[in-house]
Amino acid sequence: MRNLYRIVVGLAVLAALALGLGFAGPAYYGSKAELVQRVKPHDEAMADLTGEVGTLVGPPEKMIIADPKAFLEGKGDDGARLANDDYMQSNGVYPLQLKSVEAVASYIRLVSGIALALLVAAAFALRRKLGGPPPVSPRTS
Amino acid sequence: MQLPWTRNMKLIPILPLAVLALASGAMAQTKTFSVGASGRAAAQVFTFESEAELEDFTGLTHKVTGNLSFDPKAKTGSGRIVVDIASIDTGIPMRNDHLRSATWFDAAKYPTATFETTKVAHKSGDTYTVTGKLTVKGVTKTITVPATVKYMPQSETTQRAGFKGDVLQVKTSFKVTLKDYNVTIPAPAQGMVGESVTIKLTVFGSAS
Repeated sequence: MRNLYRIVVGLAVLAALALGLGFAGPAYYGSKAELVQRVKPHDEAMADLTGEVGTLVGPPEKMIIADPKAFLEGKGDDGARLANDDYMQSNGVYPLQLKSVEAVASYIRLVSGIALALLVAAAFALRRKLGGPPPVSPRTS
Repeated sequence: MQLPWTRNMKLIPILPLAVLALASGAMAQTKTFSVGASGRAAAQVFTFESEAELEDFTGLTHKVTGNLSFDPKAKTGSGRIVVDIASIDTGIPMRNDHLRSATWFDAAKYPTATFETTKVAHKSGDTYTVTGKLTVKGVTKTITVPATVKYMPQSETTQRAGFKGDVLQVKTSFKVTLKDYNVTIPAPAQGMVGESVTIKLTVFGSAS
C-alpha cells in the first residue's frame, strides 16, 4: 500500500510537470514564431513576367523555421517573412507550425490536468487508509 | 416615290454577308493557348490548402495540362484544365500516400481532376466569373468561381520567360467541400485535414 502511495505521488508530480509544460511550451514557441509565407521562387525571367517573387505555397502562417538560410529577402504584402520552399524541401527543413504546438499543448494540459486531479485525490485516499502521512523516504536512523 | 421599307429591301441581300464578315472578324480575335507545353514548372501550379485544428498543409503539383481560348477584345473565352492527382505533393511522403489511397482521392482509379468551362463572364479589368464543370474522383459538379485573366502579347519578356507566342495567365481560387466529391476523412485523420479545402490554380497558356 505504501509503495502504491509512492507511485501515485510520483505520477502526480509528473502530471504537474506536464501541466506546467503545457503552459510553458506554447509561450516559449510563441515568442520564437513569426508570420511566414512559403514561396517557390521564380527565376528572373519569370519574375519579370509575373511581377511576383514566386509562387505562394499556402497562406501566411505563424511558424518556426530553425534554418535562417531558408528565408528570402523582403516581405510579403501582409508583412510575412518569405521562406524559400524549394530550399526547405531539398534540405529537409520542416517548419513547425505554432498552431500544431498550441493544439498539442492544449491536449497535454487537458490530459495532465485531469490526471493530476485524479492522482491527488487517489493520494489523499491512500494516505487516509495508511493512517496519517507516511514517510516519503525510508528512515536511516 | 419609293417607300421606306423598299429602300431597306436593297440592303437585305448584303446583310448576311456583313454579319458573316463581322463574325469572322470577331472569330479571328479568339486565340488558343496550351497549358503545360512550355516545360516550365512555374507556368502551371495547382495547390490545395487544408486548414484543420491540428495543422495546416498545402498540396502542390505542376502537372497541369489543358487548353484555353480567349478573345482579348470580346473578353470571353473557354477552357479545359486537367490536374494530375497522383503527383500532388504535401511535403510528407506518408501523407501523399494517404491522399492517393482509395479512401481519399483514389488516384489509381481517378488519376485526374478536370475543370471545363461552360460560361465565362467579364466583370471588370482582368477579373471574370467562370462557370464550369469540376470533376474530382468521378463526381462532376457545376461551380462558379472568380478568375483573373491576363493576356500578354508576345514580347521580349514573354520570350525570355520561355514562351514562344502570346501568353494567357489565368488565376483562380475557390473552396471545395471534400465530401461533395466522395472524399471522406478517415477517423485517424480527423483534426488534421479540413472538411473543405482551398483550391488555387495559376496557369500560363502559351499561344499555339
